[in-house]
Amino acid sequence: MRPLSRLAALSVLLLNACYPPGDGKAPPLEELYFPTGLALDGYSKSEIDQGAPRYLYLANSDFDLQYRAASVISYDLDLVRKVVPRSCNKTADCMADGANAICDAPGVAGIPTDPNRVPTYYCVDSSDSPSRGARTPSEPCGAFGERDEADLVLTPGRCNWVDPIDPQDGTTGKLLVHKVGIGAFATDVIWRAAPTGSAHQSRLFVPVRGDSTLHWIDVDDGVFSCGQDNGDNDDGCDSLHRSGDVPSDNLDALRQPAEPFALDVSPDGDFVAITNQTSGTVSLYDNDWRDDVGPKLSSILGGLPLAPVGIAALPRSVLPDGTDQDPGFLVSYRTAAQIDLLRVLTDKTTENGVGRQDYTRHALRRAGSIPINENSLGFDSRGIAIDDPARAACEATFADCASSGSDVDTCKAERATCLRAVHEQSKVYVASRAPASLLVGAMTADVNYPDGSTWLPSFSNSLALTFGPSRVVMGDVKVPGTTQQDSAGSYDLERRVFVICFDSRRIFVYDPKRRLIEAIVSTGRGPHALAVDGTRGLAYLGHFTDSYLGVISLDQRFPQTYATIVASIGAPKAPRTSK
Amino acid sequence: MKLFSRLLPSSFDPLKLAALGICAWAALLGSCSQTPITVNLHAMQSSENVSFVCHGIDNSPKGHKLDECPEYESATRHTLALVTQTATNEVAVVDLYAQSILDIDRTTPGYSFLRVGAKPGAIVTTPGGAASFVGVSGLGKNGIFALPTTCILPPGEGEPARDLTTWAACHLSSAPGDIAVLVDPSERETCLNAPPLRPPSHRVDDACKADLTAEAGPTGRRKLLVALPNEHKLVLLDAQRLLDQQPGSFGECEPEASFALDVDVPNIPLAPVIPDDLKPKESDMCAVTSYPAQPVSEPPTPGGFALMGDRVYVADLTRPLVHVLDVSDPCTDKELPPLLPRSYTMPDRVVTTSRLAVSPLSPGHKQFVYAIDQDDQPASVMVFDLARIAEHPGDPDFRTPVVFEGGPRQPNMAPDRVRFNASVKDVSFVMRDFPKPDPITGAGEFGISCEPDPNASGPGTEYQPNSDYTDGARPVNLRGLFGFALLTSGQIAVIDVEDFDQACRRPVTTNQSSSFVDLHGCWKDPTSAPYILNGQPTVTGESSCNIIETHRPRSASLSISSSATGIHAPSLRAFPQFSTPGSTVPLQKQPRMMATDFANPDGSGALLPAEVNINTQLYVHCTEDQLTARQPPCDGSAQLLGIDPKQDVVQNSLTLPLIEPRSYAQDEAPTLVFEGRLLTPDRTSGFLHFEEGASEGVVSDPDANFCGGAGVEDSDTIAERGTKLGIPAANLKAWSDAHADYVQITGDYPADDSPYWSVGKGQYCADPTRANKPEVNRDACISKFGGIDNLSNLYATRNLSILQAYAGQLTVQPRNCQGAACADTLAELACCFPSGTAYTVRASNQWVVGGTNGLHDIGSGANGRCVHTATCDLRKEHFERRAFEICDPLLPPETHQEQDPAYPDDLTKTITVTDFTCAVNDPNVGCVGASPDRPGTQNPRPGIPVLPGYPASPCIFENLTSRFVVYRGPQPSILGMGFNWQTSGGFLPQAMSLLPLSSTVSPQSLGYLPELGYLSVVDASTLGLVLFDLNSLGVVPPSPYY
Repeated sequence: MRPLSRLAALSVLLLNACYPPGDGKAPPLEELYFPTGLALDGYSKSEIDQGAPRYLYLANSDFDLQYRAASVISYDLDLVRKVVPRSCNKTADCMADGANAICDAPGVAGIPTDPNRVPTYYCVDSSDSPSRGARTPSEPCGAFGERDEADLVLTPGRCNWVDPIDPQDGTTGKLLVHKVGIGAFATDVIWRAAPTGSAHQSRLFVPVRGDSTLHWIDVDDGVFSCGQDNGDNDDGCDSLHRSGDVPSDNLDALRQPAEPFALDVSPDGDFVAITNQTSGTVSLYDNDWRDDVGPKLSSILGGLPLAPVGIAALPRSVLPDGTDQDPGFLVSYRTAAQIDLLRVLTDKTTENGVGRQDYTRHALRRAGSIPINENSLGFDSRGIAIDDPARAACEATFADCASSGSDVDTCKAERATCLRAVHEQSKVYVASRAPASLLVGAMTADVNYPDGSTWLPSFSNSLALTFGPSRVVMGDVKVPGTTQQDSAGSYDLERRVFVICFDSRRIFVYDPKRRLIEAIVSTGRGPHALAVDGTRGLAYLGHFTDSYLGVISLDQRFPQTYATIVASIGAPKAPRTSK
Repeated sequence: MKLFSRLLPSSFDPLKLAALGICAWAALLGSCSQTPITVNLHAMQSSENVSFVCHGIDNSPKGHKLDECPEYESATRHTLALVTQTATNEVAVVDLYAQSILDIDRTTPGYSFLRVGAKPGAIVTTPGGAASFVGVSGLGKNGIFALPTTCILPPGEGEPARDLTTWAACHLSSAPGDIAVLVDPSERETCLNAPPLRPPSHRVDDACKADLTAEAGPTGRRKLLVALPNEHKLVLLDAQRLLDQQPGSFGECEPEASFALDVDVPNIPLAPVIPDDLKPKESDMCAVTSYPAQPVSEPPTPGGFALMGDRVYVADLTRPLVHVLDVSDPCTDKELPPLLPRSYTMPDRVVTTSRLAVSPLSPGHKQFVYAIDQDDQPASVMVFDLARIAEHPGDPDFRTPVVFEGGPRQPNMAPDRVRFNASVKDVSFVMRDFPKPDPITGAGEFGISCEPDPNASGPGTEYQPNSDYTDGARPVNLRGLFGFALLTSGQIAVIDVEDFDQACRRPVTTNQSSSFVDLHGCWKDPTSAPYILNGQPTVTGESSCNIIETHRPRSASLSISSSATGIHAPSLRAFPQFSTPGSTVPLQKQPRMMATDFANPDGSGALLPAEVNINTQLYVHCTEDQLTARQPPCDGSAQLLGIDPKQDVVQNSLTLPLIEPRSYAQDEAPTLVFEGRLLTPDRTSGFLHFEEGASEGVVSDPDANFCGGAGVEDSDTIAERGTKLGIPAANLKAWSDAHADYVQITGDYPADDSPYWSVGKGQYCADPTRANKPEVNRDACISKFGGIDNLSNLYATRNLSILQAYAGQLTVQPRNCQGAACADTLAELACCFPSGTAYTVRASNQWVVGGTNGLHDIGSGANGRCVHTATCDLRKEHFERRAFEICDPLLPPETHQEQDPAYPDDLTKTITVTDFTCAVNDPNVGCVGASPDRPGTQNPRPGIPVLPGYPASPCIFENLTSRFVVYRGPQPSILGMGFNWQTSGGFLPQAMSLLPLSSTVSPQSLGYLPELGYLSVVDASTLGLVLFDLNSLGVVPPSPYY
């Protein structure tokens, strides 16, 4: 072989080696390693905090390819809650921590009066007899210890990190519930409850860049099921649970394009759409809830601008005849100042009994597009989120109805009635980097459309942010109020929009009711994935760069700790190149 | 090393590599040294609001009024800008005189500003400039900080550093919103009805003094009116009392009064005051626009303030009203009847407002409130006419937004909104003048209107434009009252409110009538004589009397097309050009597109000559009589415009209506295409559904918006047009079927190697009824429906006539099919084009204007069916894009030869089939160009060219931007034949922009500094504070300050 040919051959080999299918070091599955996705389990409920989700799912990405694969892990949030300090203003707020608990706030009896001491506004043990597991006035972080001030620059949060495998307090059990291996470079994770009668409670969907697949994992009580026990595959999901890489799976011989990035799932969980960064395409998977089938690639929509990076599923709406509008997704792009509406369309033509239904049952089509004029440039849009509490309430009512054993058709009819009564247009939020801003808008009302909306957003404001906005996440925070009750008193839940600014290490909290940026959370390096646990008044933040989980207080009743990181799960680890 | 050497070619010389490397390195070094990197350091971060203050070197606690600044001779007084920094909780100080940003603490690296306790929001300065007040918000940190002007500069030698302990401040129970400084003329220290207050504190530290009781400006005690949105109220604080707090303390603020904003909202339907041009003519058939009652459930939430005199206008973020407070006595709650934001186009919508501006009273005794409709998409501006409200104090209808005249000719503007392509972030008013000295008295008077009358004299005539438009009335001359709208995209739009020069911005011609508007939009002129004096115009000579319209964006240019000014009036670039997709058509056989004369709007029946500008040259259609009379414009100054299609030398042409310049976008390239597309681009999201054996199917595409978007007309809808064109009732059904729009499938089949053809239903496409017959059927599809190699010449079998059009679906049938063949063709179509192939919708047997505003009046009616709406919605009165051609009955019928079906085997036996006859009973006809059989007419007029009043005049096409007639040629028109032309001189709105300074901007607030004549814009992204000079509409260097 001639030397130049050898050089070329070596290059090809190196390029291919970027995505080793099975070689290399086995990953420590339970470890946080460049987390990119977080999702809460809405099916399994907390045993302590009424109505709160029990499990948190986290997708690791193995970004630096140190290992040959990555993992998805689950945490027990009831246990996480135990290691997260409880915020307080006064001792009465600490009832949930026992009779000895007092509030580490100025002026509280039992709290040292040293003027140089900085109170934590955490509930502590009044006995002040430091023992393993106890938070005391002298050691408000208990066995976890306080962070060195120098470390606070990179890893905010007063208390040191919590070991999720063996919490340092010695009393809390293992936070980690389960783990399973997946391909490298997962980009996100989404959870959906399975319909009544399914074999499993719920399902996770994980786009994986490394092998260009959609992983799917059935979940029951925080335990994963994706064929990981079907042989010697490092506790990784088996090939059945990786979809999109086998053209023979579908009659069109489609294959998932490279670089799958963002995904979302239609309200009923029947369709998964994934944006593919480098090809300007969006893949549609038809999700079969049977545990031996799963999602299958059914359509790839091309001809879109390059770098589609944000996608959000439309809420369900009903047409005047009472039928559901076809499912749809909004897509935003890095390279184009526009938002596209993609519809899942179904061929309903009467059959002759010949294989047509097996051919193309569903197709993803671009049904509309709208330019972004709101900003000076407008392109480089990142995350997109749709918020429609009214329609979500209809879905929740349906879920309750269906799970109660009522006739599904009756439940659907009730849902249709509920949806028909919704006239408010869904809110839409887009994080943009040119300039750094949050675009605030709503679906455009138009009486010329069958269901009164174009299902394309029009924006009515652009809010300035700091550089590097990436994702937009909806969630609730606790505010002083009267409608709900917990151990610290009464409260209300209010909607917020969280904009994660990866580059500037900030999370902006936008109050859509008052139309203002209400708070800014200072985070560690590389804030990326966020899951908001409104019932507990907490949010979980995956720090991509240093591979740990931050816990943010979202309870406004405690202003001293509101919108700050109050705990860290996992030891922060700097990427190898930045050490 | 050995490994690398093995990878290199054997011919490689290491010495050569070394030499090459050295050269490359040298080149790299050289290139580095020639590329200096400029890094713009930004001192400001996330700027939001600004207040201006005059600071004197005397550092007087009494402060200085803004009009005392700057003092140029000895520079003892500087104008300072205080700019809030929301990311760092600071207030930046910019010295506009020294043209620099002040570093408050020079002992620390980087810029330091005035630190406040939390995120700063609103900032205001007292009238005398003694102190400024900043509202701050943050959980547990809500309050107001007082910044005495004596301490806003960097500390002098021996002075302590400026920090939080420098400022007096007080804590509020919730986050403050907007703040206004009110003046209590009674000079009471506290309001009479104030709750018990703490005894006044006495500052231990008096380093930063501010004495508001002695400051200049209006006499009276300074009070702060503060919005508390979360508590749904306003509170009143004494400003001096706040200043007297001990610096560094943060005690509770002590409101002297609290205002609940609980004015009664009329819970009754309201009726907008609609201008005549929006009132339906058939009022009995049309629902009258009204605003339904909007019961108030949300508590009031104060938003932005606007203060003028003894009135404060308060936006409400949750209720559909704008509060009006009488603050002549700030201590008492006198809430007046509110303004009532509503939406004319969406009457059910609850309209809430974010920010406001109130104008000063103009010389014309007009005063307006501009309010931002924060939920409009994009956010827009509503206008409330305070003078009109004052005239009808008891009528709430007059407190709704003004619905403007001229709406039917301004397709891009809502009739009751000032709307742009991006959201309005802030609004402001500016009233200014630069009076010219009276030639007699030598004195200049503010607010003199330009006088165009050539016979007049006096100071108003001094504002007439000069011959080269460098003086007098012109776009850049902002003399009068103007609105400014700051857009989120970085533009600052100028809005005409009361332009003192408006009377001189118009055509030379006049129209005294008050009953009709002439072709230039003029009426009610005081004189019939043209505005010319000694051969020179006394006005600008622009194309329209509507170049300036109240509350509409201002034009950036004179609407004139001349060699001196350029092309700024609606003009053609050249005569329209004909094109055909097939083989060349000789000129004599081509269809012709021709201008035609106008009917005189005075109703006399006379005609006015067609005229149009081709670039800067005027072309006019003049009759022999007119040429002989040499009356303008047929006096030889213009080129002749031919309108008779029978004259080969005459070029295709059209005229451009000049009534409303805003009808025109800047530069456009319209087309007129036979059977042109109504959907552009093709859609790929339509699915064809049909029941087996049915001859009709449904194209379903829920997002296509066939009615409001594409304006699809099915056979029922288009029948209304047939009636207006004079098609006899007996022929109307056939005519409608022939003219109903149709779907054209423009997509390709699944690929050759698609499994659809081998295992899917595609294997049976050639004969869907024979499911078990295996065939290779892609070829069969191609054979029947053709390929897409030539998109301009697709097979007619791909066409589906639209029987019924709905918002999201079309009921269709294969075009021109008969009997059972319809069902077969439909099945074949569905089989050959599965899964949403590309398609478009085309008009049938008519011409379609495209490439410009595709305006039509079709909307979604009952059950979602597409219907005409212009009858009741006069905003669409002039919307049109379909042209029906006029045929010449003197031409022979169009025929073709085909084989006689009676003799199928005899190839030589043919018959003549008539395709078209120019008669009203032919289903393909548009208008018949003459009526040779008109009773009593012995020698009928040829009827061509068609003029207003002629039998074929219903086929004269006119919309907002073009007027013409299409004459059918001796050779039939075919799909894709077209005319294309270009227009220029469209409306260009006047605007200032941040974008030349930076492409990434997030403008936050807008203000006016009348003392310097500057408009200020605060940008949160990159620019900080930007100042615009209203004389040049350019940026004032060295701003931006960032």
